[in-house]
Amino acid sequence: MKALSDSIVEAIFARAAEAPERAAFVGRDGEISFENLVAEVERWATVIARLPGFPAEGVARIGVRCPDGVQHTVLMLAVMRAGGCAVPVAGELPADERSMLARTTALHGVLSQGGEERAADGSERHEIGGGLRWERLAAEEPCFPVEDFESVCPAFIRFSSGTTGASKGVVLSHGTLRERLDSANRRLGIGGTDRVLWTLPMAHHFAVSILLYLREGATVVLPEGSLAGDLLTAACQYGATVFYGSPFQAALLAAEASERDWPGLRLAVSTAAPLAPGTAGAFVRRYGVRLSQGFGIIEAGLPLLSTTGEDSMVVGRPDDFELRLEGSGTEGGLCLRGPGMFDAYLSPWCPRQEVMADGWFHTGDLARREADGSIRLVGRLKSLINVGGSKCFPEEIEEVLRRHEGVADARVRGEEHARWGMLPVAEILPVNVTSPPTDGELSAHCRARLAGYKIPVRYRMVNELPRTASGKVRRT
Amino acid sequence: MHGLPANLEDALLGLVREKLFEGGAPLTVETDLFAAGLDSMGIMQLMISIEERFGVRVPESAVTRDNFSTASSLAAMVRRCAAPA
Repeated sequence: MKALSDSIVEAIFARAAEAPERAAFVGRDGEISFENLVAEVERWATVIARLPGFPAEGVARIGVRCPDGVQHTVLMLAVMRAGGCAVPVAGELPADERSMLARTTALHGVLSQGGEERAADGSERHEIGGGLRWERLAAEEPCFPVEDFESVCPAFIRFSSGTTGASKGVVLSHGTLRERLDSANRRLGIGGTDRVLWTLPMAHHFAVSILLYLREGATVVLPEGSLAGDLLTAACQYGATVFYGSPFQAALLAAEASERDWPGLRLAVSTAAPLAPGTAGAFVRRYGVRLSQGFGIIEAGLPLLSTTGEDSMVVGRPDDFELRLEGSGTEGGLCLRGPGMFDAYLSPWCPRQEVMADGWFHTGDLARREADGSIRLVGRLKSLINVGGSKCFPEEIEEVLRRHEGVADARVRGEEHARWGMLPVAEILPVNVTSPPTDGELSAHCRARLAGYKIPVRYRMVNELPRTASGKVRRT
Repeated sequence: MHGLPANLEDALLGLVREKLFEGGAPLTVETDLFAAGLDSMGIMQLMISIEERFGVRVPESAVTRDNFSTASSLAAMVRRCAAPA
């Protein structure tokens, strides 16, 4: 197996060696010490490196499709420890999205736990013990330059469209992860005495969360379930000190019926989407701790964190990130640069230096600088739809809708919603206006091809769609 | 007010199938949804669909294990949410 130097796994192992007896995880999956976590990662790394189809040369690209928990974390770390690049395959992806993921990232195989359906078409299945399967995939010619990909020392690919565009897959290297965690923890201040309540899906949140907690020697508390009562029970039982979750979970916790207190709580962070009105106030009244608002994006980590907790659109003042607003006024497109920026978009391949050709990453958010220097988000320049923290682009939903035989064209918008932020709604130009497709048909069509949160909540039949001079469907 | 369908349990079961579970999972109105894998993202999607489809508002305080455990218990919750306060 390859040397560990500069690997994010090495950084976690080094921290583990300082307090081997301390719990890395407590809760649902039992208690596992840092020492045992390291041993498990080493054991699985050895197994993974010997799997049929694991390449002898270069960087293996390995999918991990595993429910949240200790096993998920062990497998992700073990893939990286074996010199591979780990690609989480979210459980909610339907077959079409899974296959696209496997193709686009040219996976050598997928490690799966649970579920009978295949992680990707045409895989060759091997049972490898511990309730796990290895689904070896026929090596497809990658659609990205492998040499360039491997030259960045990739650790992790998050398969999404990122924050601003149609590219698929955001590549993070070991070096980037280390920088990113250092930077984010300047704001979070998590240390070895912290116990962090785990609430988010691991396939979507892994770097500035699980990796950060383990790297800092903190303990991750896994609750039995995702309801507010489960979270509070685990928080009290295991003495959780940190909540890092979605606005929805913050709202559920604030409304939890038992009136139990959370005495150990010292830091509460809501991330991924703006809080619904009233949540911040209800949370601080219930638990006596203000909700911090995080501005996290996959390309940059957690560059901003607001600790004032009063206005959910204010995401804080920059410290180790530089910010710029496009244009000359106090309001403009938010651009940033700082430590731990992503290394490349995978498909089509575009290294960070090219994405940031003018020296800045353009987030696609419209922002304003307040008098005290903090940043307020005021809108989006790009078409991203953020459904309570789960993000998608209308173009992707429209493309699926157009594949329905009854649909001539479609336009999808994010409709503002007080609780969820936005919901996708569709306008459909039917092929045949006298017998347009039904809502049920369109939903079923989308369900087979898209994750649930991307399915439009409403369809409206229209006779025409507004277009630009070049004939494209107009967005606004 | 949309008015609730007479066969609300079946309508909810359809929603659960459509939103949450791939393929033809053998679900009934009494299937334990948490055992079948209902998680926080799934709960959010169910709430969105229920509110859109049936025109009710589901308060955060109604998001409990009892209410979300089966299509049948969801139906009882939706009826309570739809009843005038």
